[in-house]
Amino acid sequence: MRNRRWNWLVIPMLVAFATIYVPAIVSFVLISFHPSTGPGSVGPEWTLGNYAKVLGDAVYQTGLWRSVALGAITVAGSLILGFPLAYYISRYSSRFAIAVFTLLYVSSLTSIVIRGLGWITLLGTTGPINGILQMLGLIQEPVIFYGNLLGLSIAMIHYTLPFMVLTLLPVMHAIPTGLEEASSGMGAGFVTTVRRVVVPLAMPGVLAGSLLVFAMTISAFVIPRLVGGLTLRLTALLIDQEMRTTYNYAIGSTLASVLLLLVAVVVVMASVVGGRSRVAR
Amino acid sequence: MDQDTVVLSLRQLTKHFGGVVAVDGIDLDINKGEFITLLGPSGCGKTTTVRMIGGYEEPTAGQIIVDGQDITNVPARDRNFGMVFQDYALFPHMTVSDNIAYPLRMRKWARDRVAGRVSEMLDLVRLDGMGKRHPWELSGGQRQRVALARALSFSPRLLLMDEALGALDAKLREYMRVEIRRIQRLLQITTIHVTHDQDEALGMSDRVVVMRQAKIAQVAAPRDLYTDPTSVYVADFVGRINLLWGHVVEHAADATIVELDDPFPPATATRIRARRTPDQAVGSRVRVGIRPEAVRLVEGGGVLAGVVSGARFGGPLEYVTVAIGPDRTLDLLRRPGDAPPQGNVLLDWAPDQALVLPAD
Repeated sequence: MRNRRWNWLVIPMLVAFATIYVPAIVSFVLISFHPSTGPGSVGPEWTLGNYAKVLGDAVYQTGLWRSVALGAITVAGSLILGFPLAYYISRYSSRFAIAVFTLLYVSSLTSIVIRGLGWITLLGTTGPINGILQMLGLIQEPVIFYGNLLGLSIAMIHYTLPFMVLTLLPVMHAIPTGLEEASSGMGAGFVTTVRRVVVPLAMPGVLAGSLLVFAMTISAFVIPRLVGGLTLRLTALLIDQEMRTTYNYAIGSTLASVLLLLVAVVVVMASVVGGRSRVAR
Repeated sequence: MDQDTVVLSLRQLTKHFGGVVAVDGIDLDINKGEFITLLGPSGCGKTTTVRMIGGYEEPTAGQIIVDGQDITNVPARDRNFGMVFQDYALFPHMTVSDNIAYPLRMRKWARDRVAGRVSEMLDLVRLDGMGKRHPWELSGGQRQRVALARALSFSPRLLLMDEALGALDAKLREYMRVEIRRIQRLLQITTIHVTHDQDEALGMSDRVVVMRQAKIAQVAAPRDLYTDPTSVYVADFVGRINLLWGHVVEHAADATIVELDDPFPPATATRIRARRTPDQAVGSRVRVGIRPEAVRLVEGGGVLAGVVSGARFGGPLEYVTVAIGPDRTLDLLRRPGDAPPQGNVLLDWAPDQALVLPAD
């Protein structure tokens, strides 16, 4: 639809953004440039002091690094699990494939709180996962999953996997199966065909899914709070703490702005990479 | 070219899709260097057959034998056949050169050997200088040629083409027919081509395999297929033909006499002389088939009388439709005269041009 006649269809969305979301973002970005003057208030003068503090303080630095690390691990994990799954579902419309997809989809509809609590039980030192690992003789002592990146990554990958698969699926579907047939007919094995044909053509979906999962993960709150516990202080948890416990709006806003900037940088990087591998059709 | 060395044999080749029989026990021998076309309407099993030969579809039963070796269970990647797909299946993320080099890289050719072959192939399909482009920057005909170059670059044992010209417009299709045949003759590569277009089949092939409902209806050289079809189906599918009902009365020394069924206007011989076809027993029901170009308008005598009911001008030739009875017409093809014929006419044809075909 190249006709401009339909442009008005985006107006409701633009109005909602302009009146609700943009002012919210602008206001916390603005607050981040003012000094804190006590719980719940900021002074009128302009300053970069909040940023100096956030970027200089070890607690905030660690929080940021952990958030980025968790984002990267979660992206990698959901991609490693999601890519083959999306490929399988897109290529084999068998009953089993549909069942797998339905299971995944339904599980993504479960309340995030319930899933977080479920992982606490599953990953506990006396939980079934440690039980099985010990039974198989793979470990002597229980692995501690609670309160560290290991357990949190497992829970986050589970949480984000459906979003990764749902983003990859349409892209996979759009790759004609004839290309894979052509590749095999010219002497390529399955792995070579996937590497040289499927992966490059699925790249837009891989990038979009990775961005989505990354943004979801570094701003996630509920699962980090439940599975990460109080000791694993990620940026999203620190923001909550500044905003609702210490009422330091200036620092809270600054942390939020830094997260926002981080996501923006990743989006720009991804579109540069994506632009280079773009396939016009 | 050893015309008589069989390269590929299909033995009782069968494919079922669920309860549907797509290919029903086909037997076919294809000779070295031959250009064979599988011709038939959509759903006749021609594409399934060529896909089984390529290894893209697993036969339900039967065998595929190449150079005396049973390859029925050999995967596509080990068959070493080139294939041009209906939509070309070019890799959109690779350049023309990379597309053509793909099968060579799979075969671990050295870099300069790959480059040499790619430029040879670009020359062969007349796309020199286009190597750096991407498929989407090319016209339909150019893409078709890239697909052909890619299918041929690794010197495959066989070339398969599935409706390879289907996506092109009429003019380009005609040009590509000649091009493909030129390249095929140059490389002397055994080729199996699938199409529903009879002009394409007749114009390109050494032999044509006409398929009907999962089976082979007839295998013959284009000329023989046109002049000696063995069934009404083939006669009707390949070219145009007038078909009349009748039964065999007698086999004379030089002709078979057929009594036509329908009531005809006066001055009409209801018994006609047709090509001598002794395998149709006296008394059996037959169809008499006459090609429009075999029918002549005559001043006196003739086989049938009729009234001109229409004429359609078509450039060098015109079709004239003659009513020869209630609800019955006969078409004839002739060079247009000063004016189309009108009114009562007499029609004639040489007995040998009237085919006696089994009634089915």
